[in-house]
Amino acid sequence: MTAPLLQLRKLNKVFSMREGFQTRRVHAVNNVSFVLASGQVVALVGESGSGKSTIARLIARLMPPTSGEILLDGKSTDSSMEFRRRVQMIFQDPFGSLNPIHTIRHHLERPLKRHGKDSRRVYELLETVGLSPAKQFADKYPSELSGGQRQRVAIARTLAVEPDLILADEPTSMLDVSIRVDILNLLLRLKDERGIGYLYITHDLASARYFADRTLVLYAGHIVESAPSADLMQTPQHPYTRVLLAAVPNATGSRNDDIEVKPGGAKLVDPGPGCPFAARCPLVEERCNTQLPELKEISSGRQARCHLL
Amino acid sequence: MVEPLLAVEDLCIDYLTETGDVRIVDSLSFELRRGEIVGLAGESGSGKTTTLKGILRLLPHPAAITGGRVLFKEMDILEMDEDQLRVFRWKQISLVMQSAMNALNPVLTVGEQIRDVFAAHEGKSATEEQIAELLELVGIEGSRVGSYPHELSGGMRQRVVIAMALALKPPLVFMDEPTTALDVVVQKGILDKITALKEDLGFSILFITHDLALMLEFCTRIGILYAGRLAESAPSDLLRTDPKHPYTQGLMRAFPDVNSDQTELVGIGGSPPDPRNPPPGCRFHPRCPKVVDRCRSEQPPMRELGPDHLVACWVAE
Repeated sequence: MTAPLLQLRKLNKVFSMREGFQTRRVHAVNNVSFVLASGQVVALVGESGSGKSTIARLIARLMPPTSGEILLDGKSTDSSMEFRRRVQMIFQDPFGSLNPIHTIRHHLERPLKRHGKDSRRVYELLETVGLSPAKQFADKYPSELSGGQRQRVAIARTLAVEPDLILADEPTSMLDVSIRVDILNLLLRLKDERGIGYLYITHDLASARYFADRTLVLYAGHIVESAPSADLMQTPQHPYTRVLLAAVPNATGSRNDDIEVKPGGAKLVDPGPGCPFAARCPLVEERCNTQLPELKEISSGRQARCHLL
Repeated sequence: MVEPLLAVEDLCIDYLTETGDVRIVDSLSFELRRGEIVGLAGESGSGKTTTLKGILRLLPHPAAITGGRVLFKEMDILEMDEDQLRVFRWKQISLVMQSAMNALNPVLTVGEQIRDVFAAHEGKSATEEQIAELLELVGIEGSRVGSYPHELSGGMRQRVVIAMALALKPPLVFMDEPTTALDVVVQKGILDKITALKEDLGFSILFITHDLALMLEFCTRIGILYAGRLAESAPSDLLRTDPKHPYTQGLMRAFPDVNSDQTELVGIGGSPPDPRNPPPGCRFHPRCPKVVDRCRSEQPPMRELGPDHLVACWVAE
């Protein structure tokens, strides 16, 4: 059996914050394990502060994990050029991720040269992401492009080095509705043609259902539920997933789940021993406050972290 | 026929630049009746926020209102002088701004900031009880009057701003992306609160968001803006089930639904026009799949296709 493209094993990240004479420890990512295969899209969803972006940054080696392993094809990662070729990121803000004083051509030539590839491939890259006529686009500056076009340039830039894994951190959230789905469709086409795997980070559950094969729900840095996207959205099991889905705006009226959540936020500093969602959970029991539930298989292909399931 | 609470007639707003005037809002007309939640939807740059600020006369130079009337209870807001405006704003129409939770002053307690509203617009000070009551109204404990903004969560700050907007019991509240920066669970809580307050206090809402699913769920009637012009306006249900304008039809096919499997969604393709150089005729024609010759040269007039259903399109029927 071959190793999966990406595998996370018990990944943890604790940030230390100095506050006066005290050091506070923020538990941003807790024991996160999952696998992502080539040609697969895995979505990470959850509220802000749930650890979504931190996980992507750990995978990209933008910061070291506190503990745990990140394996690419079964081997631990290093900072080699080869690793950086294979794992690429697309960021949320296409206005901030391109340098305003350089042309599009410059943005695409740089990675090509740096990674020893043919720098004449600029036009081909632009055509691939639907920016044609490529010759015209190559000599434009970022300010001359719309948000959607800039995001296409950002995608073309990652493709320059022929990556195996793309970490897409809210790639469409700053774009207009009529543009968003085109970007997702472009990413889907590249997945089918090149077998690229995506880690898709979003707070938009509807887009996760459309784009991702599997969705992982994060709460306070813990995976609380993991399932094929359609199953997860259709029949959410974990109380937090149910709360989340009941809150998603819906053109045809809200979903029929009258689960009530207590207000408050996730506790990341000095979390107690119990379930991270216990303080807000409408179904809370005695043991939830004292014992962290395991992430366990509750049905085929589906895991949840809850004592009641 | 019920008199509309707010009637916007042929409103034009331009940016006066050195290289010529740029029209951002072009002959916009719509009505809002008592008790309605009217939504304005459109892409960034379509003129949603400019319209809201224009109605309240809050646009800074170089933006200027260059035509039209805005009637509120039969008074033309565009004719008011500064003194009249000061009494009018907040008391008659209040505004909850985009990322309003960052609009609070970090060095004043929320109680002091609410007190300012009364002082500035009614010329009298509010009692401690009044302020606490207002906070309770939006689901924050009255004892938090002495809290500074940084001591409250994002959702609570947003609710403070909503409480401030309701302080003088205005009949109409403008909300510009009031929940955009918040998580869905918090957003849901706030919108439920707004709906309940609206029933209790009986105000009407003009609402802006880029989130179409949210708009269709929350608003009773929706106007779709494209490049500064109204493309279509209809009750929400009708707009969802039977959109007539090709742009609206495109939008409805472009966003995923969390409750069903869509095999293929399609975007509209192309991008909105540059307002400095809009295309002639219908502004949507370069992106329109149903374009005919006439669309390229003649601007389509607003037509009524059914009760409350207005469309500006030559081919829609």
